[in-house]
Amino acid sequence: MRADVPGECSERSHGDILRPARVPGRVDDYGSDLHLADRQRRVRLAGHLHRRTGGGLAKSGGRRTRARCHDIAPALACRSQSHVDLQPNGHAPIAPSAIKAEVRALLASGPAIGSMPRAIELSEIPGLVDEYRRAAQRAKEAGFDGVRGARC
Amino acid sequence: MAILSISFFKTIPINARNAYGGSIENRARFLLDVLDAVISVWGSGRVGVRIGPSNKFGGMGDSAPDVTFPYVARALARRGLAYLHIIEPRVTGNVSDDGKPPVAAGLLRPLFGGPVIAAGGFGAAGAEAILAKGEADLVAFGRHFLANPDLPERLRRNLPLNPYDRATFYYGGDRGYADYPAYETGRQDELTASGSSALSVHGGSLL
Repeated sequence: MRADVPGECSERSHGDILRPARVPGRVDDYGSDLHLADRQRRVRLAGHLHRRTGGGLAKSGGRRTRARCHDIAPALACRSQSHVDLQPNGHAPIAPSAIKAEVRALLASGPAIGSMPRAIELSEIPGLVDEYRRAAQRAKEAGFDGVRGARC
Repeated sequence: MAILSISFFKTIPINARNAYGGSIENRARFLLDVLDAVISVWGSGRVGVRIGPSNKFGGMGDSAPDVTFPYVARALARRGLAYLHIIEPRVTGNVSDDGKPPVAAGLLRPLFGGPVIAAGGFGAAGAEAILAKGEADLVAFGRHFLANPDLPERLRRNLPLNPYDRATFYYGGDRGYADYPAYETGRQDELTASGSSALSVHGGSLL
């Protein structure tokens, strides 16, 4: 993403970055209402923070750091903590093991209990790793400054 | 900063059935595989990692974080990442005990060797303290940032903070995200501003 003015987060620039973010293959949460709603909220939030902080979310050592930020791939976080309504073709979400996460998924209709996932197969892991690589590639093409892996 | 969530290698939900489960080395493998894939695109200097060694959110957790995460910190050190962002154990998912002292950043920073961002339960005083002790290079604020749109200014001037309402976290809509007021400038004379020039504020992940 390139903000219109260096050092600023604009609503438009966040909308631009969030719209094309889509994880291909099995993970297509971005096509769901959840992520449509989530994107819209993030854009609003970014705009709010932009307005309330004068464009800088952070200052460090007296130097305003650029606040180009925000998420590109929460779809992957939704894998094991998701709902069948958010998965392609209504399939079970995947997880390291078939253990239900104690979380709620946010559907268009509101919060719902997460669905029982299926355990990922060992043979699927290289493809999953490659999805991260491709997500990182898209983040770069979109003009982000870097990537943070969040092992929550 | 794009954020790629990697939630895989906790002890509890992973079966010891393959190269990605069981031992510490195996459980760290997925994280490291993903990082190496991302580094192949960006170079290591543009990639950071955020870890929550004691996070138990969603029923996930590591049975031996005091062993697992030193291993992870050393493995990350070899990759020369931009930074390591560490959530203190006093925050475990959506539960926190901010009265406990921070411990994780001080433990892992020497092993990682690069810039460390400490997170979890910090206010202005705690942030200054951990920076002064040299256990962190930056301090991240999440909950306080949600509740205080002018957080950097409040910290800089030692102004009181709006209390946050956890019930509004992660539930969509504007409430709890876009409706906290900035500090009334008319009240500033009532308070003693103290310098906090060394304080670094990191916006971090808001979601």
